[in-house]
Amino acid sequence: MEKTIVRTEGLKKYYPACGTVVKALDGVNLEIREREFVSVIGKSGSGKSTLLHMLGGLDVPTEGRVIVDGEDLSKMNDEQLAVFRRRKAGFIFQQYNLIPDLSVYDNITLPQELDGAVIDRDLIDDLLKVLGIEEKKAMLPSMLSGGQQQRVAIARALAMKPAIILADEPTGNLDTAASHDVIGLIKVLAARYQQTVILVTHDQDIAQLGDRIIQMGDGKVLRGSDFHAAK
Amino acid sequence: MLQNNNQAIIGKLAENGIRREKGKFAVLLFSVILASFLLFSVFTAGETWLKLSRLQNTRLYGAEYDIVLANGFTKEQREFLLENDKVESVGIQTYAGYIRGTELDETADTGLLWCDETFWEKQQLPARTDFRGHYPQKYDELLVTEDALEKCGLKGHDVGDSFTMTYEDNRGVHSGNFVISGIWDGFGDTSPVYVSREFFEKAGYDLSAQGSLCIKLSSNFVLPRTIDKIEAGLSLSDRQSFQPMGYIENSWKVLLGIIGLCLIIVLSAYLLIYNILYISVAGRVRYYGLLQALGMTKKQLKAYVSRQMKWIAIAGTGAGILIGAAGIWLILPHVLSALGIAVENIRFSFSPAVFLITVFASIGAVLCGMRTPLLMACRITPQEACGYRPEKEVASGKERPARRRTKGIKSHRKSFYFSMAWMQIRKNKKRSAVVFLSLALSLSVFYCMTTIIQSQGERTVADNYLDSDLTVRNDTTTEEIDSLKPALTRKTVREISGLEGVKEVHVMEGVPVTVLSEPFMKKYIRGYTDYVPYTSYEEEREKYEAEPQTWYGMLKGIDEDEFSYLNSTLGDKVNSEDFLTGKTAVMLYPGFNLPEEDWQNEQVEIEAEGKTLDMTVSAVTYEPYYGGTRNLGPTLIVSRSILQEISQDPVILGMNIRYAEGFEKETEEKIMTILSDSPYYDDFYMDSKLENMKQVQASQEDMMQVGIAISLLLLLVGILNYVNTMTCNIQSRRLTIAIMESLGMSGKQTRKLLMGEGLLYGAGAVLITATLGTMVTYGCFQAMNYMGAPFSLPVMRLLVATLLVLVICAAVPVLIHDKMVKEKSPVERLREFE
Repeated sequence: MEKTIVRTEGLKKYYPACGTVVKALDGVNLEIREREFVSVIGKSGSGKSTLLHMLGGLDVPTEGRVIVDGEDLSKMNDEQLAVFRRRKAGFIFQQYNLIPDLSVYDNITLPQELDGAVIDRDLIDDLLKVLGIEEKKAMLPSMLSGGQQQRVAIARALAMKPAIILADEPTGNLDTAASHDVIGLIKVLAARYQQTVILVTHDQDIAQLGDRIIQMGDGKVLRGSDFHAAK
Repeated sequence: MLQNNNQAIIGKLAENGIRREKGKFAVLLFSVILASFLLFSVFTAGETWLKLSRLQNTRLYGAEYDIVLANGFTKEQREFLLENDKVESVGIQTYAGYIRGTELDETADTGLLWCDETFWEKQQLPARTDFRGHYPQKYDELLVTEDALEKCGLKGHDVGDSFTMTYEDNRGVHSGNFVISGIWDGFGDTSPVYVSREFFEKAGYDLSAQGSLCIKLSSNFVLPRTIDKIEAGLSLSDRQSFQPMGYIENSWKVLLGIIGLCLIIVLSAYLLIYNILYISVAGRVRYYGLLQALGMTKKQLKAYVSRQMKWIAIAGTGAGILIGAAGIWLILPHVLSALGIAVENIRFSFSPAVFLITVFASIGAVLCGMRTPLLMACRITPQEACGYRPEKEVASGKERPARRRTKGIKSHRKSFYFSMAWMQIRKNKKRSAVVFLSLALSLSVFYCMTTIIQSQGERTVADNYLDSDLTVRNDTTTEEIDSLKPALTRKTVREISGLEGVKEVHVMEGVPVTVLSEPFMKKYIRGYTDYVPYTSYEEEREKYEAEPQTWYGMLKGIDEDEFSYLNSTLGDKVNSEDFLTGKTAVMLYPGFNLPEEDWQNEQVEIEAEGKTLDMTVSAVTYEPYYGGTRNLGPTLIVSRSILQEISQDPVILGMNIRYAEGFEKETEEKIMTILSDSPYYDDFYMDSKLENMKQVQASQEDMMQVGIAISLLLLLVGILNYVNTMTCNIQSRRLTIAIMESLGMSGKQTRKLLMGEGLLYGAGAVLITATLGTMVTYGCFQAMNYMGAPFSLPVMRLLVATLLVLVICAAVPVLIHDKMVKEKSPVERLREFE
């Protein structure tokens, strides 16, 4: 039986806005198991992206705990969170978020460079080959299509072999064919490197590609909060 | 199609736009204010600097002129200059004889000059600090200074007092009673006495042979071509000398420097405005797209953005000039005072030209700076506006593959930061170059100013002969062979040598000699009579043959160390052994227009105290230190032992004294006390390095102060420009930094990266300063180094300035980033771009 890799306990994120409080997350309890592919769906403003950011240590909760691979993120300071992000979490954003001045290769190796780690060239070459961007590695991101840029973002997210892959609307800017292509690659590579994927999407078809679907609404998990939940 | 007046809505939109983006427009306004302020300040300070340069020259040379035409001039040459529109005034100054002695001092030895009204009333006026009485009108009237009176032994005499003097002019030696018509004081040489036109006309001198024209040009800046044209137009003869002042010759370089500086400022302002507008336009693409979708034409959009910028330009330029004026006239003197710099003599001047240049340059920078962002705003289509992200646009220009780095950015962490920082610098080469140049320029100007100030300091100013601190000369001789008095005694030498602060004393002894070699003397007398027009060769030769003592010479003995030094200054080196054994002697240039080769290898036999000596002239020295005696015959320098062979008790003619470092002032005071006890005190001629230094410092003080003001302003330009560029740079990279932090870059790493970038800018500026800056500094130093001071670097001050710049460079990006980011998490910052 697979162990739990992500667990949240009473997770809350409140924002002050125009004299009122926006409850982006309102007591989320969640468990995700190792190597699971989870899709998080919900309407705009339901809190799905906020949840993803909390799980990846990009944002800090107002209340509650986030435990990833045995580490309590709520007890970490900014420096520890940064180290956590580059070692344990791999992000894939809707806007790709590639560094425009760095080549494809340099973008992929950036987390390793930041970590001072020895670059696993075989792994990078493997990723480039699988993702079909081997020929593009010396190019700047602005010279690539949207789909190709997202492949670079996937390679970057996987290059450190993180415990979890956090994908925030990775197909939001892509057409249907490219979208399925990208999700397929994420799935194949996550399986290959035994990683857990948490995918935020508003696209029901894409969500269906996951092992489990978590539905969010008004900052709460409406459905699929634990791994026993049916798809 | 009917035209509608849509200016009102465009104006309203522009107004609302500014109101909505107060922060951005405040920065824009600030940058325009800053540019106008700096332009106005640099131009005004630069102009003041040039005026002070002229004042410095005026003080050094005792009159305000830019070129001297010496050794005579013709009427046509004067008329050519008077008619030349590049020439403001032409004054005449000429030699009119000299005072041999007065009733109270037989050895007054003071020059007589005559000058015309232009010179006295216009050119000499700025150098005068005091004047009472009037310029001589009659033959027997003289205009003097307190210094001249003292030199003539007439201290305490006042306007209206009279005295008797013996003087020599081109018609011979005369005596007469003269009245002091006026006493003046001021800068420059205050030793000559001025005479009336009548005196000059009767003195037998000819303006075409002895007169000098002092030419003041109408402009502070002239090109070498202008000076060359004037020179060519004068059709100079071989004997005439045309000498432009170093300041006027270099004025075009100063002008170029100011123009260069202003270009840097305008370029910086342009880049700053460009950057801010670019970011502003990039951030409002959706808005512009929406406006176009609603029917706004590209022309209207252009008018809308332009209108905002026009308001900023007008308000910014006006405020900048006002602040510049306030800064120059009100704040800067206080800043300089607080820094311990005297400000009494600094008068910053206002010029309408400076005002206009500032207005045009500032508005020009705004117009140029807004051009590209404006075009970019106009090119946006409503379709494009959706999904626009500024980062895509940043990499403008031709797209090309990134430099392939198969080994990643760098394999080591330190190199990674360096590599990232270097990449940022290379990204916008134009902007980086301006920052490098601006910083390097500020540092270089500081470097240049402090080096010049240091080099004109106490120990390095005006190296005298034998690098002495004080030269004392026995000035008792007249034309009589027995006139030499033992004014400097061996006791005095012992007392001075024994003083604690005295490091070295060289004594020169001498004895009057009769020259026995007739061929030598005939040649000598021929040269003299050719030079002094009222004398006749035949008469003088007969006088010599009848009474050789009337043409007595002086044999001067020096020690071996002094000989080594003398030999090092000679063009043709003298054989030491021959000199020390008395076979050869060095002859002092007698002042005739004869080349030195004419005297080399001449045999000369001399006689003193009943003994004779035969020697060969091996070289001629031009060193005035060996002059100072009034013998009509030759001055020959031999070794002391040879002098002692011919004379039992030679007279001390001069002392060359060096002080121990740090004891200069007290030692000189003690020496003056010893010398003042001598009954011959008035007959000592003294040349003090300390006094020279005071004169140089007084004349250079004001210029240095303005120099420091300019270098402070430039340092401010450099730093502000750097701060502005870094602000824009970091603002445009907020997304990149947020992405990198989302990927795991810690706050510490971000700071390290930004510090590395700042340090690279600082190091680049230091490198440019250390190479180009040193070359420029050396060039400037040599151009100003009329006193021959050695080049020395103020290492500590430069080190402190360099460290300060490096610290500022490293700290600024971090502070800007921290201020921009505040407490926002990476995801909050990422959301700002979604």
